[in-house]
Amino acid sequence: MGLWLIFGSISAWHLLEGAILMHVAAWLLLPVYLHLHWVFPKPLRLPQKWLGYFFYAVCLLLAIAELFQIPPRGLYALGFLLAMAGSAVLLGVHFFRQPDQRRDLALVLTATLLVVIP
Amino acid sequence: MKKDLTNRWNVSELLLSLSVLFVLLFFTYGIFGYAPYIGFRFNPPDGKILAVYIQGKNEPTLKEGDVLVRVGANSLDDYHADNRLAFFKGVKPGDTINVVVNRNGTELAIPWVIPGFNQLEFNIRFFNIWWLAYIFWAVGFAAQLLLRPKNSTLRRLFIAAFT
Repeated sequence: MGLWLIFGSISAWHLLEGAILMHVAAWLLLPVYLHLHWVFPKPLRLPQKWLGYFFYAVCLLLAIAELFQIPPRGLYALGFLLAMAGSAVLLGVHFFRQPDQRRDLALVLTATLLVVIP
Repeated sequence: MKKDLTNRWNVSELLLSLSVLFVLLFFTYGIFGYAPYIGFRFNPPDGKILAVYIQGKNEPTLKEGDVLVRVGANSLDDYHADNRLAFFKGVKPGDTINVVVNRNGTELAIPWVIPGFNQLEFNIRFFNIWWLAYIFWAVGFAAQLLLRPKNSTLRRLFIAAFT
């Protein structure tokens, strides 16, 4: 998230490749965030392991495509929204399916709010 | 042997976090030192001028609510079509750029003099979200240094914080 934020901060100027790198970072965030929230605090069951690799590969291809400005202009925002919304949904799934992990989830939620609210 | 591998992994993790910090510092310099101070701020999606920090000495001058049509040789559509096209790349204080805006349905050509560093524009840049990047970096770095056991979930956590 750190790199995405700093690239996003300079992206409006279109300088230092900031806008392109922000798009690339958005596509890289998507599998990393979903994977993290899939396995944290306790892994959920993945029906097929190759699905995870496939998802990483698709996002990596989209990130590379962004370097050449191939995807539609605003598509990266969808990737970012999916990363955020998907993470929230996965945390909800953990909350309801893993009651023993709710304390850890409360910590994550508190940390997130501390960063997001300001 | 196992300890050697662990040490190497720790060193590469440390290099990763230091590299990310270097990128953050480089782009922070980009925000404050490299991006020119143009004297106004516009909304990139629609080109609307949101604030004018330094009033031009001659009329016509830019006003809040104007909509950018063209800056120099590049139109707003060119800017939208190419994420590498910068309106103000390489301009220096005192340079005059021809800015065409739409004001209440009328196009106006405005010779805009780049003012250079000014406190208002600096403040807008400073009181923005760039510093959150360092918070995320610090969280990732702290996780790297302090949290144990160092497993794949922990590594995903600090990679997520860095990315």
